[in-house]
Order: sequence, then C-alpha cells, then structure tokens
Amino acid sequence: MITTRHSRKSFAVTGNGGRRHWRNNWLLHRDRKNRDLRAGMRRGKRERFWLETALDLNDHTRSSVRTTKEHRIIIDLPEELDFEANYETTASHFRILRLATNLKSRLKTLRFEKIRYISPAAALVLASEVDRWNQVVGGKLRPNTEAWHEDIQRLLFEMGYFDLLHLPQPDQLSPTKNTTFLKFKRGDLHDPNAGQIAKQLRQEIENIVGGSIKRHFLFEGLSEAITNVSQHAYSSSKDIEVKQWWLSASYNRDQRSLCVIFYDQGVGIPETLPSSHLYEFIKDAFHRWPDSEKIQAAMVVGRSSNEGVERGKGLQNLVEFAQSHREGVLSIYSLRGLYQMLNKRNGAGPVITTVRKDHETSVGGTLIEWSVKLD
Amino acid sequence: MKLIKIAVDYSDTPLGRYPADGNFNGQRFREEFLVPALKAEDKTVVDIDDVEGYGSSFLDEAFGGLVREGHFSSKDLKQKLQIQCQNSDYSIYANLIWKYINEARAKKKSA
Repeated sequence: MITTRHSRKSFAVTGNGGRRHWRNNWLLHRDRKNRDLRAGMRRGKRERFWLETALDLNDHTRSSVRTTKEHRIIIDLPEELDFEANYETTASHFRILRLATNLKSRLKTLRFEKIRYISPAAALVLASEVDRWNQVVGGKLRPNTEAWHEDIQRLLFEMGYFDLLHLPQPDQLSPTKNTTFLKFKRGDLHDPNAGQIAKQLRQEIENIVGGSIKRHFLFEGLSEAITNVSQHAYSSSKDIEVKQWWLSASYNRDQRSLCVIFYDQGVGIPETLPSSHLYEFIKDAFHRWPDSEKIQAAMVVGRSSNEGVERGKGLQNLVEFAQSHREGVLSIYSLRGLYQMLNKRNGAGPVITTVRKDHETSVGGTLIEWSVKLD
Repeated sequence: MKLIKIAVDYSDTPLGRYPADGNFNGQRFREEFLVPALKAEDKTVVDIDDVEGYGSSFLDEAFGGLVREGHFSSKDLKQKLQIQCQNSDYSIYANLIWKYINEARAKKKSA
C-alpha cells in the first residue's frame, strides 16, 4: 500500500512537476522564439532600412528589390522600360542598379523575367549600367535567358547586348522583320583616334540604312557628342570610375526612320552650365532653375561652361542632323531634364517646336536621341 | 601664297577643340598649320573640301581661336585668309568659319 501510495504520490509529484517542467520549457521556448523572431524582425527591418537608404528606394522600385540570406541584392526589372512612356519607373530602376554597383559585390542578380517591352534608348542605358557593373566589380551578371520573354531576348540580342557584355549568345532566334540594328558600341574618353571612330560609326550607320544619308551632318552630330563627353561630361567627377560613352542605332525600313542614341554616365549638361546672369545665379541658388531649362540654355549659341569656351556651338551640331531631314526629333535627357526639338517640313517651310520637361529621377548622365525620317 | 588642303595636309576626320579630344583637333591645326602659314605668307588659302564634316568645336577653335589667342585681328584675317570649297554642301562651313572669326574677341592678357 505504502508503495502504492508512495508510488501514487510519487507519480502525482512527478506528474505535476512534469507538467510544470513542460510548461516552463514551453514558456522558455516561446520566449526564445519570440526573442529570435523579434531579433529577426529587427534584423529584417535593419536590412530593409539599410536597403531603402543605400539604394534610395522609392514607390517605383520598393517592390523590385530584395536581399538573399547572404545580404546580397536581387533586382527585378519592371514590365516596361521606356523613357518616353514610363520615365520614372525606368530611370528609378537604372538608378538603383547604379547604386547597387557602387556597393561592389552586393548585387547578386538582375532579373529580366518580367520585362515585356524595352525601348532602344532604355536598352542602351541598361547595357551601359551592366557594362559598368562588369567593369567595376570585375564579374559578369550571367543572364538566365531561358526565362526571358522571347521578344526581349531577340531585341537585346540584335542590339548587341550579348556581344557588348561578352555573354553566351541565346539559341536560335528569328530576326526582327522590319528593323536593322547597329550593335551597341562603347568608346573611351580622350581617344586620340576619336575622328576615325566618328567616321567608322557614320559608315556603320550608313550600312544599316543601306544607302546614303546626310553624312556630314551625321558626322558633325557624332563628333560633337564625342567631343562633348571629352570636354564636359566627366570634367568634375573624381568619383566616377567608368568614363565612357555608349551608342546604338536602328533603322526601320517600313517607316524609313533612323534612330541614333548616344549615352554617357557623366555629370550632365545642367551641372556644367554656369549661371551667366545674376537672375540665373539667384534661380540656381534657390533651386528654381530646372534642368530642362539649363539644357535649353546650353543649346543657345554662345553659352559657355568654361570661360571663353563656347559650348552652345557644339550642341548646335546635334540640332542640325535632326533639322536636315524632312522630319526629325532631337531629344536630350540630362540629369532630371528633357529638352526635345521637333522639326517637320511642310509646304511653307520647316516648323520647329520645342518641349521641356522635368522629372523626379535623374537619367544618370546625358542621353541624346536623334530620330529622323529619311527622304 | 600658301594652300592648305585640310583633308590631305591634316586629316579627313578633324574633330574636337583640344588635344584631349583627339589627335586632329582644332587647336593643333591652328598652331601647327594656320598660324605659321598666315605669319609667313601674305595670303593663305584653306581648302575645306573632302573631309567627313566639321564639328563646330573644331572650326571655332581653329579659326575663331586665331583672334581669341591674339594671333591676328579679324580685319587682318579678311586680307590674309581665303576659305575655298568646290562642294556646295561645304559652303555652310565657310560661312561658319567667318562667323566664328567675326564673333571672337581677343582674350585680355594678364599683367
């Protein structure tokens, strides 16, 4: 009996103690788990806060960026990359790509899977940013091209994305029917053979058109774009590691339209244009002189960015190629500004209209786009 | 009289303002070709045909620079310099050269 009572008591003690012990363990475990969760959340929040700050995320890019467990960055590019129709989203994504590159090895993957449309100008800027990443970090962002939309694969292949970045070519793709592309070109700052390079570019552009174009106007435009980069684009930028320019061109046979695009990642036209009048100085000081107005001012012949050197003369050559054709558009995106000049000839003569626009996000340098209709 | 044919004597792809812009820039053409010829001869003829084209930076530095750098006045150049072209497409460059010469002002020399 004693044994039994004892046993029962013993059992009872053991039973209560077990439950208490189990409960204590569970509470301990729950506390630890909550503590870990809270710490994890704090870590996650810290990570997210760091990401938001380091990449300067905004409403256009917040959902496109995440990190791996190893704290490396994954960027999803959006459905539509086009400066004309979707400027803020497009420029914001290129901006985070630039900032991620500055963090060196933190960028892990750049995902193209969502892209359904990319304009030639956006494709050139994208290629230049990935090219910069390759040069700064010394690696290659290897693309998983099988997951890309076929049209995007085809377009980037034809534009020379894979050649420029020395990536393996995708499998057999049927060519685009109506458009011929000049594959992306890259040029270095202060190349002693800049004149020969401009001539070669002119010839290659003529080849894709398949006939003669107004060659000296095209040479002028290209040579002044290259000179502009050499003299101004990287002039006050000690922290820019890659000092180059990129070019692409395309010709649509059905519409007989030629498009030439030139991009540099420099400090931008607005940054190199000084205020030459007191009211401009005051406007600048109070941030009331928008970038688009500065680009327009730089286009006026005789405006100088260095005392005694008349920059406007060079920028005028960019206009002339667009003006020498029946229909021509010159678009200059520089930092946050856009200056556009549209030329259309009718019976009474040329009708020239200009458009200015300012954005929230910088294009990260200067993007010049000529679009002309050949006669 | 001295004849300088840019496409033959200098380059068919002149480009840029300064040596940093490329080998065949406007400053070099001015200092190595134009100034010696204009100083040595009563008349210098510059043939501008047969090049790819001229950017304004090149023309302004080469020709406008003659006045800016104090080598000659625009009045002197009207007597000593002749711009020649057969190709009508290039007459626009001849006009630009004279425009840049006329607009240029000699830099003030520091004491």
